[in-house]
Amino acid sequence: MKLFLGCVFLHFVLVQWFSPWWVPNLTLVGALLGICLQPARWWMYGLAAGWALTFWSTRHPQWLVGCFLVIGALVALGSRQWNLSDGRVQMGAMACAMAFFAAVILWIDHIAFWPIAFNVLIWWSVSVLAVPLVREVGKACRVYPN
Amino acid sequence: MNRSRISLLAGIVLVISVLFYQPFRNLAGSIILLPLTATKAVFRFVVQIPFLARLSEDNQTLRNTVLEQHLELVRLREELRHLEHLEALNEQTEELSGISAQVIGRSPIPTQHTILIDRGRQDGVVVASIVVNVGGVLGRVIEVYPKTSLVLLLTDPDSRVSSLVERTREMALLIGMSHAECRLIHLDSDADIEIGDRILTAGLGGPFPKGLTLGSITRIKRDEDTNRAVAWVRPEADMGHLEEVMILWPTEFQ
Repeated sequence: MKLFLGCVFLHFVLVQWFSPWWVPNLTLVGALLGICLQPARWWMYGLAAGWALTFWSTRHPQWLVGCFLVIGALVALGSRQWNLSDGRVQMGAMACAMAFFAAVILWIDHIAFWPIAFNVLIWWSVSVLAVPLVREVGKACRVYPN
Repeated sequence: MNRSRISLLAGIVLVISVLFYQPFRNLAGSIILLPLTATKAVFRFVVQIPFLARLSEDNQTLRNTVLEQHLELVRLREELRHLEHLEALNEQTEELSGISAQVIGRSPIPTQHTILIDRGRQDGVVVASIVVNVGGVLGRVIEVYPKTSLVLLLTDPDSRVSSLVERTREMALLIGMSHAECRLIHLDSDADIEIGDRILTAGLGGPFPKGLTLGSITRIKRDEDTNRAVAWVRPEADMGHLEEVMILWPTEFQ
């Protein structure tokens, strides 16, 4: 939970300085790594991440919370099939979760034009690449098991 | 004999040069004073030896003082910049009443362009108050809490502002796109618009008074088939780096 809270805090700090398109979705990264560690608590991480991201959202908070719960449930289900402590599996899960999340937010805001695709691609890439980085930082800070 | 004459002549020339030619005089003075200067330096150094420890402390104290003064200078510069910013805002909006505010947060969801400001219901902010900075209009207040307010920026997809082209008075609607640029729609394909034209608020419906700067046209696309044109507008205000803003009461409160 410390890793998740740290990720949420860092996410909120970074978006104050940079465009949210260039900042990794650390809330989702934290939630995903939390679920990978404790798959049984997927609902808790889903709700907490949804609430944290929708704190300042203006539209469809129920959709965003629902999106996090779906991601949490699917990752928890995946834990029966795959070893979620494997870094490559975590990155694969993050890639799918980010694609789903990006599709949901574009859909609920009715955004569909080419220039935004570049931004989404950057956001998706930096978010997926943040997974190993956050995991290593978590290990160094002893909030993620070695 | 000849050699002694030449030496004498050279000596005379040298003496005259030293006496009357300034660079030679300076050089000669320096050479003559060199041993004296060196002796004085050695003497001063020897005299200062007992005070060396204190000098080191003094040096450290002075360094600290310089650092403190440097930090103070930085703080004062920042304060001056803040005051100049507020003054510029006041000049721009002197006929409109409002209050200044600080941006304290920003939505982490990239498609929802909202900011949180440190003024709320207790400061008199109401829903639909207009938020501007020196660049122009930023957006409008959509939610008011006791001490904070949520502002919907022009670049948010929910933002709709009736606008006009400053040069030709063409009317249009400015909509956000979750992008650095907004889109100007409801234009005829033969609308008299050019890249670089400034876009202002039209003051038709909604909270925005007429004549506030929104941005300038960066791109135009005309479609003869549908008889429609679309223009892309870059907001004058830098939405990515917002610090101080001004909240203006909506037109019905003016």
